[in-house]
Amino acid sequence: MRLVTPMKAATVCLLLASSVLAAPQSLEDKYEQKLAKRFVRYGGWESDYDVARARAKKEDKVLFVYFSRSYAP
Amino acid sequence: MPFLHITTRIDDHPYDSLLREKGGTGFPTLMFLDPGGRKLMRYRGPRTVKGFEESLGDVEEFTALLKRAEQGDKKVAGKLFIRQLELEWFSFEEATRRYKKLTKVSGKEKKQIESLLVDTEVRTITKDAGRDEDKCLSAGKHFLGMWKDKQIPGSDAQLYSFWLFIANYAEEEGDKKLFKKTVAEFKKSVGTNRQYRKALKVLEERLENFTRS
Repeated sequence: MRLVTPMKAATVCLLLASSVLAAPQSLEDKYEQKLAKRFVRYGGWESDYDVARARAKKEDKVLFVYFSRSYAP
Repeated sequence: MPFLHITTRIDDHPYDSLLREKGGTGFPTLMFLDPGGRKLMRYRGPRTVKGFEESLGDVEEFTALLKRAEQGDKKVAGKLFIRQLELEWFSFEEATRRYKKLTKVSGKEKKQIESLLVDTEVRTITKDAGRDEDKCLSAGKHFLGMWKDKQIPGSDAQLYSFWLFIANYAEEEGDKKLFKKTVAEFKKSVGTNRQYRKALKVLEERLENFTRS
């Protein structure tokens, strides 16, 4: 039976760790990150189009829309 | 009522193409919509409280105009139709149909409407063509006919599509003279707009290669 030397094991761990760090984020993760941004959480922004329109209609207001994206910076 | 729309590119994400549907092309875009989702204004002013407040005044003026028209005031029909065309509410077919029904329009309004209808026609055809190669070439041929009839759009966005589609058509037809003339028109009309500088550079490179071939 061949044993893995401590040096080899450390190298594999390092490679695994770096591959996790460099893994591309999914579009879902990017979207969640955007929603978690400070200006979104505390700015009073509605992010559901149906809810926003229903509220605007009920409150007799217009929508002020900020179009942004999460798929790219 | 502040609404944040995020384009995600996630499959089946609700309303992911809302920006494109409302005529936006870049990020960030600021816009006022009514509760029905109709575009009331594309905000291009300064990002200041004063700027936003002033624009809200314009939005209120437009919504008041809409209300007057809904209540049957025919005097505002021309003014309202012009604003609606500027806001890209209608396709070319729909706009033409509505224009035919307009009765009380001043000479000045008529001139403005007819100019905006050219933009509407170019926008509708471009949108319909999408990425379909045959439709794009056919659009280019159609735009060439409009150019010959001196029907040239006024807005930079439509001028960009107009000249680009004609250039693509000219290249496909092997018409170097037309391609050169089109690139010159592109440069003259939107060449100074930062948004289209890259496109101009590409067109000029294509012209150079085309001329050499």
